[in-house]
Amino acid sequence: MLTLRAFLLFLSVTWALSAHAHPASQSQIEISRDYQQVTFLLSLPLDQLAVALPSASRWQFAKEPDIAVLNRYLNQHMSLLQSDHPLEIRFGQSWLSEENSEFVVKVPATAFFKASQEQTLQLTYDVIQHKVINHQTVVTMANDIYQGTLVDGPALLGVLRYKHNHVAIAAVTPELPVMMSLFTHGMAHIVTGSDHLAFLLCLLLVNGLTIRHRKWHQHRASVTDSIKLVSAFTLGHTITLLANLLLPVPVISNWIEVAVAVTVLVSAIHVMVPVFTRQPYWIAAGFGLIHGMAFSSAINVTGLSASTTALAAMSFNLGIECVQIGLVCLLVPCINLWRQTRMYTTLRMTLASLVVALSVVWVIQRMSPFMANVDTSLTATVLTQLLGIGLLGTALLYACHPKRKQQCVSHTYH
Amino acid sequence: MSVAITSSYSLGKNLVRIMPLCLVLMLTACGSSETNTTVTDSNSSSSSSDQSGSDSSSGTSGDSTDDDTTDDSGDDSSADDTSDDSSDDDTTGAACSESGEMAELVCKAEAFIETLSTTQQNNLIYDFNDSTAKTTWSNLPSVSRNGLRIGSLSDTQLDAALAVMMVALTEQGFDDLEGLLAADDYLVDIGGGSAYGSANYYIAFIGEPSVTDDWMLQFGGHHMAFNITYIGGTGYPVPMHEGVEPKASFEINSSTYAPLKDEGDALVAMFEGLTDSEFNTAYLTGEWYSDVLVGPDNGNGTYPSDYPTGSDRKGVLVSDLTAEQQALVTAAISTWVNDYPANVANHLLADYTSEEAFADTYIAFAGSSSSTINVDSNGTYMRIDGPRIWLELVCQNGVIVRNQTHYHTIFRDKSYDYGNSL
Repeated sequence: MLTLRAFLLFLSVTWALSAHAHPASQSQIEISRDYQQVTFLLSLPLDQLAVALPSASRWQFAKEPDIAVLNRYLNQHMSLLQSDHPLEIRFGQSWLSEENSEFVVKVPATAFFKASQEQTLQLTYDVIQHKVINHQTVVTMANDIYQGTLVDGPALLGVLRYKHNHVAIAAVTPELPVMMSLFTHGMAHIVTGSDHLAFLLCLLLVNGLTIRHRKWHQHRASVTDSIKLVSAFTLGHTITLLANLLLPVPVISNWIEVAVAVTVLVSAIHVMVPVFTRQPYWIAAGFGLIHGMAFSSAINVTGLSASTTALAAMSFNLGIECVQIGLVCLLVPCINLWRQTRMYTTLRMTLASLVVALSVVWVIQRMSPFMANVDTSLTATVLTQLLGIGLLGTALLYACHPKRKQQCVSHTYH
Repeated sequence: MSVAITSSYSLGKNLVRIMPLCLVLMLTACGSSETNTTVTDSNSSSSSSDQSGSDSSSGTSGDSTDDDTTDDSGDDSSADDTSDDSSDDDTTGAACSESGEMAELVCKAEAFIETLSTTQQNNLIYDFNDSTAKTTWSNLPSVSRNGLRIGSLSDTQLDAALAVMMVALTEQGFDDLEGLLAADDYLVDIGGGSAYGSANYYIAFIGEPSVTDDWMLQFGGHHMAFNITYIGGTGYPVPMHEGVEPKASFEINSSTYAPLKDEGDALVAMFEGLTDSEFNTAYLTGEWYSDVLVGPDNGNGTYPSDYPTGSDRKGVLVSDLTAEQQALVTAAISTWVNDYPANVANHLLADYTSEEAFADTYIAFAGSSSSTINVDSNGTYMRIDGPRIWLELVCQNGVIVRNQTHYHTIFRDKSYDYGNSL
């Protein structure tokens, strides 16, 4: 995969340089595969196309391609097979774009296939290269719901060139593994997203506490309540994630990231001194809305249908939710154990202080382009280590005070 | 005993508690970035000790400033020895007069290595088994290349590097090298941009220079790739890329150059020596070449496999030609092969022009006209396709000098690219 990426990088450099260093430009085909349809975006350098299709040389002056001529030509030089059966390729509205002071013809195309057959799609293609013998076409898969490349960015499928005019779009896999891959991606995203983890920790630290005279008062936390709380958060981020993916609104992702850091900061301050007096569920759901906008940058769904996008987003969110519930089941008993000791307030204040510090770093980092290189993995490491120490401490606490439960029962929570 | 704890801290007190923690943590986070930066920097400069790693870092020619600073430090350290070096150079020059092309070449190569700092030496020499390094060359200006950037060498070091090439090539070959470097400098002079220029060419050794052991000499940049692999003292100068813009003669620093004129003219003469019917047969109907077909390997570590085969091997069979016409084919091949001294050229020329080879060698051309060969026309293409030799020349529109075409050429050996050592 790394070599593929390096190759892609090389190709993109080559592409970028082509305008001023190398007159023979390459074509590109970007493929996206949805459940039952595959979409193509062809980029054909006009000067090379004009050698193969002489009338194309006039398009430069007309500023638009002659779609009828172009589609007839493409139909002769591009075909798609599934189990040896040809699939109809529908060419969309093509246009002329100018890239690196060179004209490129852009052609969108779509073909429908039978997902149930689970067969490799075979693209046969010699556009331009049937005439321009040295011509090359770089084929990449931008999105493939079936292969999980949906989340991994474009993958190189092959380079069509002299003696190579076939490229295989690998066999499809059943829907369940696809959804599983997005599900695990959601899990991985929350596990490695230290800001979201910090936010969750803050939610749990005060869950079950009540506010009296603007201060927190101790109560035992309930696992059920905590699950409700994180689910409210999930509900919030599901709404914005779906909205963002289905109704792409241009958002400045940097500011969303800043907003996420601010929610962490506010939550951490709330852990020290109550900031919000309303129902915690509303707060969790409200902040979830902001986090959802950030999640939308983690999955790339351009070229997919609305239903697939929704399914992808739901699988992704389900992964997040599962990790959250897992964390609740792990952390809430620990927190309850700590709450029975004198040290809980100290622990709560210490953890909250650390999160405040982290979130301040995040806010500054995300606001300042000059600090863009600050290593975020360190903050993640620190957080993970703290959680680890906390868990270890809890275990020790449990081991060292076997009679603790009896004592607890006799105490009244104020 | 009560374990009921109330939150009795005021916000003010909390802040006092928090502040040192915040400061420590923020400093740690910021500090880590500095550490990281340092690590990255040291990676790029110290990658010399890791040869495979140094490919990309030292070869990223686009960021010439970084390269300069890194390599300049090496220059500085060796600058002290400049006076010694120049006297050394004289003595090594004398010492290298020993007999044998390989002995002299290795002597010059070792003399060049002597002028370099340890870091530079590590950047110069790659493992002979490194197929990626062997195949890393391109016809584009701003891509990653192996070895030391010419622009980073001191005058003494550059002289020593050129002395190596002077022995590795014949006078005809070295004239090409000088001319192609001058052409790139000319492109800079007329406003082509800093990606061009002889300073952005590189020299590298794949394996330690040796009279008997295998090693490879690379020298190249935008319009040049000399890849000479020595297997047991016999040289294979393939794949070899040469290109030139401008194609017509040009003047720079009071000297006039037209480095690939001989090569272009020899190929044209070869086709013009054909009868009308042979000329028609040689024309590749329905084919167009906007560049050479078997171009740069770009570090892919493998041999090209897509030469025409069977009925795709089109053109006029050389063995069908008269002795005079065949002599023109031999003359054209010689303009490439005779860029190299006897230990490289003799065996190749014999193999490429033998009766047996000519019985399987096709010459063919393409372009906008089937009746003439016009090197001033975009898309004019000529090639020699033998059982081993693969020679292509294509005329492309100028990129900087737009009012004339320019040449791209490739010379390969289907069996002995890289000395068949990948």
